[in-house]
Amino acid sequence: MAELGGKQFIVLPMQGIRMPAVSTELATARFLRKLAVRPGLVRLFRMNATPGVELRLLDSVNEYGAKLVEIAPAALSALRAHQPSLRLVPLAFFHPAVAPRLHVETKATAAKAAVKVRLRIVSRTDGTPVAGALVVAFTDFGERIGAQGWTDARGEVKLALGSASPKLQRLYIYPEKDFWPALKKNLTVSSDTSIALIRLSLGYVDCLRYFYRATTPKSGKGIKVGVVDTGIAEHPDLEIDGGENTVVGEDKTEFRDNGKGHGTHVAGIIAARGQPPAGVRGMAPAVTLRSYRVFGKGSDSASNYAITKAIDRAVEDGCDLINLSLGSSEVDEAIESAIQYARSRGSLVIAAAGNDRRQPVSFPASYSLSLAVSAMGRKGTFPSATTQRGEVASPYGTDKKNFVAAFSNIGPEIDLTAPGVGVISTYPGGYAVLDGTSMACPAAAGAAAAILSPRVELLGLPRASARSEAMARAVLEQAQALGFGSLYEGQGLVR
Amino acid sequence: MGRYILRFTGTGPKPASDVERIRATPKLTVLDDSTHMMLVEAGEKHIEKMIATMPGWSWSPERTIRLPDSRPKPRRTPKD
Repeated sequence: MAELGGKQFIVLPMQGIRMPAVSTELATARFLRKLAVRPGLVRLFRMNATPGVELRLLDSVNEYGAKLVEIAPAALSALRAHQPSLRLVPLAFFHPAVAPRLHVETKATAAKAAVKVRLRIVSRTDGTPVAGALVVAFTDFGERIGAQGWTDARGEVKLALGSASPKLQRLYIYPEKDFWPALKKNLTVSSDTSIALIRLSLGYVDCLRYFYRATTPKSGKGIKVGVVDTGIAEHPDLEIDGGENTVVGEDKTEFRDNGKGHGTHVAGIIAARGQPPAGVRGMAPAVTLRSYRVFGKGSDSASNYAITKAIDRAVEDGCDLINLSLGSSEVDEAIESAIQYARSRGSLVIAAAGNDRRQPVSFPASYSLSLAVSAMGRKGTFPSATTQRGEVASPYGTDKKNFVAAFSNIGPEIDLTAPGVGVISTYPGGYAVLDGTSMACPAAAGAAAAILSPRVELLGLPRASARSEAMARAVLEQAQALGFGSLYEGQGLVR
Repeated sequence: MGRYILRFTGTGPKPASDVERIRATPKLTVLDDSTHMMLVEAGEKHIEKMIATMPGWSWSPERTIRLPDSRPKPRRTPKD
């Protein structure tokens, strides 16, 4: 028998462990039935509808129930595109909980790091100070040895780098807004060092605008999108239909930005209605945009309860698409249950793969019923001395200027890739450039909204599993592989 | 004592009788309530035992997820 080199997965219907009798005409049920064989029999399958995908059936609980299969990681994405309502759960083994061995971590003493260097960050245009910028300096980038701090009103930051004139392997500067972030390599700094930042031009063709030039003010009309995030600020380029704050103990009507800006940037990528050079335009400006704030005021952590409640609310409010630019290494049953509920009510959840630099796909993107999005970029869509150049990494695409972002998580759960390196979008009080699968996720959600908007036959389906399955299929069918390989891009970039 | 999510995964909204029973449970505080869920503070064993007798309900501990950040961070400061 041929070797698949695969991993073992349990194949399940969208909910529960067996398709209900009333659902036996759904494509998922037909697929499960196709895999129904006598228990213990091992058989190799080739699915004609998806050429080249093979899996080995190892066991079957019953005709419409759970199956144990072996499938190559590279083929998993194609199977998910072929059957978007299947849940594919990796086979897991539980082990005795042995206490971990103690280990020693190296610590620098206070005295060693006491010498501080003062750096000044200014605008390249007029030399004015840039306040509130995060400055991260590495004397050894590989070992991540360095220091970081924020600039004050004079644009100055003092860093404990162990010397009055340290040699830096890398110096990253992340302004809060209105400027491009900067990356300097191999430079010696002192307290006279001044770094100039490039001011943002809203007409600049970043990676989002490079790949999606055809966006019009009517793109996404008729689609309701829920952004589950840090809230969305009032901004001249954004129109918010409504929403809810689901953080326990906070006012539920306070669904505006919590002070972090993340959700405002995400929202702009999907739905900004501005016109360069005075503003920015998102992927689907005509969508109905709703804000579900799950991060507390000024907080950078969200509870699984707030997230679960927000997904439920978005579904009850009739959101067609739900954007989750957040993630964790831990699987969470409550969030899984909410995503199942969303799919059963005809809503599609799109989630960021995570930014842990080629680590496994984060949860909830890793959950079979959400669409997982990795981040890609393109050389030439950001100025040369910016932090974005530090995110250029292999694999490169068929077009060698395209790459999968160095920070992006990857794996067989990836469904789509989207621009996430150097993305210009709305930010509280202005505009900002951010990187992340957090940015790629709304790019894919916005592209999905634009694709689904004219598909009235899909949108008119009853709000049930068949609707969300048809929506997922329609989006995945519009993806084009860029040549990265399925572990990096799934079905590719939604065009 | 910890904070736990009780989620009704059956059809429709939470059954009123189940909600009443949860609210009447001694040493359990309801912190929040929504269509399908309740956030409660109680002992883990207590929750486990109660939910085992309530069909259609599942429970899981409350956890937090941090805001994603793709920026590199120093792990330690340099030596002199």
